[in-house]
Amino acid sequence: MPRHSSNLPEFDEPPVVETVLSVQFDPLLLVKTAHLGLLWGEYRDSFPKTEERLPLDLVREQFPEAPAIRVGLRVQTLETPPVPRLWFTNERGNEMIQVQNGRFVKNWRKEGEGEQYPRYEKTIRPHFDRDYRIFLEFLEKHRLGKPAVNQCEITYVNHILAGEGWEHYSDFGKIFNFWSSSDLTPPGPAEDLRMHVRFVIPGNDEVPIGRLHVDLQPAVRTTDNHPMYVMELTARGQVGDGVDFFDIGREWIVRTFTRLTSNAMHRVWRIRE
Amino acid sequence: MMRTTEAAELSLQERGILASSAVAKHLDQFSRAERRSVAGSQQPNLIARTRGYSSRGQEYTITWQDYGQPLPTWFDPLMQGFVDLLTLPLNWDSYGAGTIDPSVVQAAMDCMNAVLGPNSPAPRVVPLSSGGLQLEWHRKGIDLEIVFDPGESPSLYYRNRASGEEGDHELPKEGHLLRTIISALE
Amino acid sequence: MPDRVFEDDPTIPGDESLLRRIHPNHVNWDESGDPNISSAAFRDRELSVNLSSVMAEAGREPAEAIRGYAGFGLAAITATHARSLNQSVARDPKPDEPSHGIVYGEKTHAIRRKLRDGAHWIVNPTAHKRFPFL
Repeated sequence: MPRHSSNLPEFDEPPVVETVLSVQFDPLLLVKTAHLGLLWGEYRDSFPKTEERLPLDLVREQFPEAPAIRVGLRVQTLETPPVPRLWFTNERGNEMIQVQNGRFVKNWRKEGEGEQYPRYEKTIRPHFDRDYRIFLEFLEKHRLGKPAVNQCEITYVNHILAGEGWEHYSDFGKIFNFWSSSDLTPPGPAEDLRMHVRFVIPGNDEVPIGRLHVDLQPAVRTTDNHPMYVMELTARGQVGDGVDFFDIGREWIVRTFTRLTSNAMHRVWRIRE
Repeated sequence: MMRTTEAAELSLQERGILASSAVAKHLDQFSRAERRSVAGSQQPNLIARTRGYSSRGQEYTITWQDYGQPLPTWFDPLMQGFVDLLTLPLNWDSYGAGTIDPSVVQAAMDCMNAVLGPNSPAPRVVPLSSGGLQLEWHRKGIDLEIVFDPGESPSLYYRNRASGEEGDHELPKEGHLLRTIISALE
Repeated sequence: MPDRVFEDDPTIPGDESLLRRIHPNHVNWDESGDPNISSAAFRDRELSVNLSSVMAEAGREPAEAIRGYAGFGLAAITATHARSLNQSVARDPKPDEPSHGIVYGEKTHAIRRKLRDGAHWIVNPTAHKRFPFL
């Protein structure tokens, strides 16, 4: 699969509802909760709302993998509780920065049905770079160290709504082109489909640099119980010591999304020819 | 509506979690609040678990996720051993030793979690004056030591007292050898 | 500060007993309830010891080397044994410990184990599995 290609498929009305860019780095010894509070001051004008959450586990794609019965083993002292994860959210509620010692994350959400989704090259990536730079400058100003990036993660969340090219969960063959028949006798037509599939992302020399995870499940919209399929594509990996993997991951996501979905749905989403 | 997988618990202990798959969805998503999964399409969910340990007047918590299965017999002694090391003061050996590096403890914890089976014996957790640690087993005529030193790749030493076979090996290159030796200790 | 280098002192005889304090965490208790020393106890490039002959000249018993160190054991190796593993044995008297000496040299995993194998107990450690208050 070519990388850094300019011929990525494009859709005028893609079903994407959220994009997440996450940088994971080796935790910095000097960062305390108070520093994250100070950091909010750098973003407060644009992101005036804040909330606290438990920190996210650190995740790294492994090659080869070592499956374990339990994951995320961590030790912490009660006398020094873990530095939390902080959310900084904008007034409209469609952009969020999440920061913890070990992660910097930016989320965008599409608001409402008529909202035009911001494009990766024009908006999502430049805004991420801007906000991440603010974070790095903050760390430098307060002599907290320079993050050693060990993993980048980009996620596209798609809500594929019923009534646009399909009606019932059993119609997944109309949405996705990897299912040869949804009418098998026995056992008869499938009621719905849930899937998790992974793909290795190779580097230039065919050494793995990451994975693409595709997760599919039936769901309903909470406001009106409208049926949908949720298709989440997450590319996670690392090249070099910066954030170059984002472009690679995004390309894999877009091409795989296009490849796994049907031509009929591409027309619903108005693919650009 | 009937949930599909609650009853199938016996095999949970046999399932290895592919870590990156398990946590791929743990990033908060705005849009999660706008939808809910259709009941009946659930997989066994990972459960967040914690366990507390005390040492030298300090309290520590170990956290992890699994399917809620019983803990193996090595779990408590091993975690207690790690916590005991984390609370060692400066000059604990009377010869100027430093405190134990928490990142080394994490590396050792991750290694043991990956290689110890349900019936594996717990190692002794031994501090090093360098701030590292050593995991040791001496049983069934086998001596096994795994050294974790700050800034270095872990290494293992193995001796079979009956056959005289012994050697030093680097980890994680010799991960398979380590699993084989640990199986022999059971 | 650069590491010090210690030359071997030939005035230290081969049968000199070099005493090493053993922390409870460096003691493995076997199935018979006997204490065994971990190789981790013999790791330092500059391995501090007490020269038993210097202690004896001052009328001090070897056990005095662990006075005030609750739960510690006291082990000994000979100078010959240390030298056989490419270690230098040197005097390094300190104001508060005139019998202080150094077993100096790189201690690979193999050397640590062999130093441990050549050690014997002078004072057994107290038989506790854990010493949470030390």
